[in-house]
Amino acid sequence: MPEVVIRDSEDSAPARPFVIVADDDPVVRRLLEVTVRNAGCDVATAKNGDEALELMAGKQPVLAILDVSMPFRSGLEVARELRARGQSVPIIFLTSHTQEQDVLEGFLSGAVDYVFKPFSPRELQARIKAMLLRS
Amino acid sequence: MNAHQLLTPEALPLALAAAAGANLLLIALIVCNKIARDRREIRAGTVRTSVINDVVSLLEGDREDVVLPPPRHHDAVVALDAVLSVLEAIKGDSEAVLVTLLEQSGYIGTLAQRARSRDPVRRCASAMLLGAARSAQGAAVLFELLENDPAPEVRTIAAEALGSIGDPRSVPLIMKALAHAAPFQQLRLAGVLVAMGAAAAPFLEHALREPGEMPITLVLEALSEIGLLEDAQPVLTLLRHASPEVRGRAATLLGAAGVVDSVPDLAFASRDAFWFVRLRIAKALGALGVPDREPAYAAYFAVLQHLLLDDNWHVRRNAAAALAPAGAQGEAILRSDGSAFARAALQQLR
Repeated sequence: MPEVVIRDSEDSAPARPFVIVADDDPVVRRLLEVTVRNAGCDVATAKNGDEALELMAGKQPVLAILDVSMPFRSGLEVARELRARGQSVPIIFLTSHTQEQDVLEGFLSGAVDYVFKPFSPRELQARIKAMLLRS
Repeated sequence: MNAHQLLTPEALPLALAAAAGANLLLIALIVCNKIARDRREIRAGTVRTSVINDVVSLLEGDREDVVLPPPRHHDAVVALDAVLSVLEAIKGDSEAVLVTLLEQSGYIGTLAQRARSRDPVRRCASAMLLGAARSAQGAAVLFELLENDPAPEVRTIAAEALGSIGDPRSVPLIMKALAHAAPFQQLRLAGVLVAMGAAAAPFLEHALREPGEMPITLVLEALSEIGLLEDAQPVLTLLRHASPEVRGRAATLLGAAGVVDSVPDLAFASRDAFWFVRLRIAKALGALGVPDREPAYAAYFAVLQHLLLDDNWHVRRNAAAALAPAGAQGEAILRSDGSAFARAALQQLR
């Protein structure tokens, strides 16, 4: 699969896409960080929904990978807040819940994809690359 | 020396000095214990972080191999916990890499040995860890425990561990264990079967056709959670079972499995004397949605219109909820009914 790059101009070095990852589990956060880097992106991590929103206020990411269940603010609430602010960031939700209702709520909140835990890092990498190519 | 001798003016300073010395010794012991505990925690944190970093680098492809502490080393418990915490989050090729790491480092072999301990608590702990490790080598030991262990709790944990590995060969053994388990263990084992989903469904359906010792209500509930049913005929027969609990759960399964052709049978069963059976029928009809063929289509609206007039409010409420998304005909029935539940259901549509 081709590597995704974004060029600011013909003369500058290609800017790597910027992705935000949020999960309250430090092991999962680390795995996601590695996976996103391997997909050719720069990454910033957040421990909870509030931190994720702070990061997105600073620099607009091309993609956000959010855990659905997080303290202070869940991934779904972050998605709704982004919609309310008019920020259309594509979101991949990460969850261990397989209930249909949760998945439907996620898509209604603006998710473009859903990944269930435990996840395959290679599969997630492929999904990220495919999404970035489409956008 | 008795108390009176201790309390003489000459002996008192000595007694006080001895007490002070004992206090100081006790304080010193408490402080040393705390320092040792803190050091152990810091070391455990360091080992855990180091193992997680090494393992993630291995998965990333930055390292060829990772050397874990030997299984009987004092850092082994922390190292195993670190690897399992990464394994919990991943699957696929990366999972296989970590399982191989644990097998080659001797951890699975050591856990397998501990699973043969005389102490049932150790056997339980080993079974749980073998399940978390998702190793095929470990699965062999878990099968042994499930089939032969004398302690029911060990068998239950072995079943749960096999369920988390997802080996379909374990399903018949889990069902056999379920038949002889205490009620709360039956619920746990039924949960394992539900988690195994499509792998367990054929065995559960077989249990419907040839009932053994597994409670029929648990079979129906598990199949409803899984939502798969290849042959609906045995379930349709259960709509006429002597037990209302079984009749109700049979209706729930037909709804969960999407058996649209069961609507006429559900309509007939809706004359049940027990309100909770009629409630499950109303919910099942809601789950099925409007059928696209006869005779199910006509029966659908007829039975829901009838259930709207039920003397139990749970049944009426769920009948209204089933009619609300049923298109123009459903709306028309609700409008002509005019009850509070019908109006609330119409309100939700807007």
